[in-house]
Amino acid sequence: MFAEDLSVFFDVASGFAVNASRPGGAQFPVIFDSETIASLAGDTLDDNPSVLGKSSDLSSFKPGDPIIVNGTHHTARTRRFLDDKQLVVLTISKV
Amino acid sequence: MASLRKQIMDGIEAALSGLPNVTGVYRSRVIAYQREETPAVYIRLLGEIPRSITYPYTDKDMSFEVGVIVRAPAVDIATDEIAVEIHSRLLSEPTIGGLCIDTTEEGSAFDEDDADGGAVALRMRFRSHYRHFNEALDQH
Repeated sequence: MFAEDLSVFFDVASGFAVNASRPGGAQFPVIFDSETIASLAGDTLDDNPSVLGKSSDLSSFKPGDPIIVNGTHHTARTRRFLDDKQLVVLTISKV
Repeated sequence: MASLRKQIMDGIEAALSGLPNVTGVYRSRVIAYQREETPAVYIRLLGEIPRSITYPYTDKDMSFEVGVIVRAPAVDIATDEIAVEIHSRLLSEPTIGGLCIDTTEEGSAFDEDDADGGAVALRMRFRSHYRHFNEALDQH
């Protein structure tokens, strides 16, 4: 069994990742997205900000937990594991 | 002349114009609301059925929906103040300017959805009972 090196997907210096953290906590890299989604059966269109990151950084987040993404304060909404649970998509709300 | 159905909908739109704390009152809109357009109120005609047909009149029940869309997490709390105002405006003058015999409420539905900041909708249903001549949709 080989050890996955997920850090290559989350390159802040020369890739697409940005820094995130809990307030006062250590920084970790995530990929930030903010696609538009339909809600209320298509009656509304809204931003759906989220971050993709490593489970080791994001799996402990619960709804309502604060998270700072690239210097902007958000709160966590939902946490969704991908594939083998090594990656997490955390949907967030701008504060 | 416009049908009584359209005149009643015009009257409902007029009764709800200038509602406080909303971006506007939208009629039969099918385009999704962007965040900056909320809180929004919409009016939507749902349908109508004859209640009785007795020469020379047809009595009809016209159902319509007034919706309130707000970006907030709790629908009953976020829409409450606007709902009170809409209910008061429509049912304090249930003939809609003398165009119908009566307007009554038919119930409400509450929708909540996950979105950045929340997205909720209160959908209030009403029914207007009106009468027109059998041969003329625009005369009563």
